[in-house]
Amino acid sequence: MGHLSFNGVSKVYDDRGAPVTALANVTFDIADGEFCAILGHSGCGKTTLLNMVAGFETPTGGAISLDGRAVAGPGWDRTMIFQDYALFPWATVRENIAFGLEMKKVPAAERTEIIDHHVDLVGLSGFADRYPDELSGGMRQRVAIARALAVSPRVLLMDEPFAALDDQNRRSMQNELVRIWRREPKTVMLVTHSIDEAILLADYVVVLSSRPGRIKQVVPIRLDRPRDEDDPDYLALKRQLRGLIHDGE
Amino acid sequence: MAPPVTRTAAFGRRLRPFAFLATLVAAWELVCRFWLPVLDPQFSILLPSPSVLLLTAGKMIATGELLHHLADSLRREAIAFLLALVAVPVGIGMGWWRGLHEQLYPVFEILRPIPPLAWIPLSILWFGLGDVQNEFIIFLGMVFPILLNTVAGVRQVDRNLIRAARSLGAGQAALLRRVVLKAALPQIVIGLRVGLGFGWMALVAAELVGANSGLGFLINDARSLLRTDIVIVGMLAIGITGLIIDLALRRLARGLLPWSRELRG
Repeated sequence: MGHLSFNGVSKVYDDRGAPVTALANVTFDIADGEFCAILGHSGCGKTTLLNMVAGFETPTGGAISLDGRAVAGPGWDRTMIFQDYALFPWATVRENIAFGLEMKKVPAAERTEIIDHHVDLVGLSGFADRYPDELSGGMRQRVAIARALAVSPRVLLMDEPFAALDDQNRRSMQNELVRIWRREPKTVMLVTHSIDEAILLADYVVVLSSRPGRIKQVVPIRLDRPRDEDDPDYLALKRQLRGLIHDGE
Repeated sequence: MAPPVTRTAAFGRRLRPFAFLATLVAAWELVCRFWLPVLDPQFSILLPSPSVLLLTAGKMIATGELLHHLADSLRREAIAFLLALVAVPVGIGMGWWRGLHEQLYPVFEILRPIPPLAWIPLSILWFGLGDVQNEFIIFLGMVFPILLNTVAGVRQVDRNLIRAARSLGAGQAALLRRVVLKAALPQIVIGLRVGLGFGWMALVAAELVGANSGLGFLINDARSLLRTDIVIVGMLAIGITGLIIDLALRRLARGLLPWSRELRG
């Protein structure tokens, strides 16, 4: 299970008395097991949309529901992966992954099993007792992915997860994510400003316009994974998305 | 043989920062021995030489006098410190709940600029001379640095750490205990260090006027007997003890929070 529905979702901020519309009437669905990328410029409200799914913010209009139930507040059925990893610096890899399991009151024996499995899944065997400080950026994001997956969320939320990495690491982490996702399919909502990232990873791309954020178009990506950037179809999609993004700027 | 040479060299390098200090002490000794007596024999009483101080210190240690006063001072500092630790939960509460901060902040802002020493007259009337009055003054010296650093530490906690924890299912209590407290800990430890330092200063002042024992009492008592050697030995004991307290806490913090960047180096 993990079906996300956005029904006429709006968000209006109060900027010192002046209302600012960040998102206007956003309606779409992410079906169970689908990988959806939200693409748009910074300031298009895409992170706001993600934060509302996570329960960090509430919509001012419309509703977000997960498997038919309205989203209210944060919870482990919707875990988030942040651009800055947000790992607990005082905790080892193992302890970071354990956190959510302890909150969920998973028995210790089972916890160990789940942790070992996820350390292995993200390719960090041998690093379980290291502190985040001792790991590279890519490795830290692997820990964050393991931590988010360990509590078996229904939806995995990702906020520009690889933006802080250099090109080479970003590409290898994108491949890693596809590998992990195919091994353990999961509903994913990924926010990005990178056209390549959206095409490389997603089943379909929701393109948002800027100020206020509205859905411009939903573009399905029907390419086999792993995806080839030199594929003419890939390049055609890239051209299409670039056109949509820059349209009216 | 190479190793002894390198060891000597290493030893020399470790001593190097003390070269000027040693020169100063030597000059002090020479001045006391050869110049002050020529100028005026009275001066020798006002400024005893390092060798005299060493003898006095030796005697005071042997008789247990120094240790007795030191123990009393340390006990007061320790009791006041334990009481001042209440500033940690209060500070976490103030840093976390806006409403609590709003209400408590004006109170603390009025009290904070009053130097602990300004409380001495009132505290003597309240508590009389002795331990309680001293501990009260030390407590006042400690509590504000601990409180302010704790509040700042809580406010600086990375928002995404809190969000990550909440999305992993942490409730309010788990969030405060397992995330906020830990994330703020390096800043809290800085507050504890500053607090212990301020407390130590306030302690000596409190003991100067309001105690029958302790290092502050010792040096004031020795003044009335014109025992400048005891005064200076007492001063050095105060300084060295303060330094040891700070170093000990730093080492302890580094051992307990090995992941903290703030406390490194």
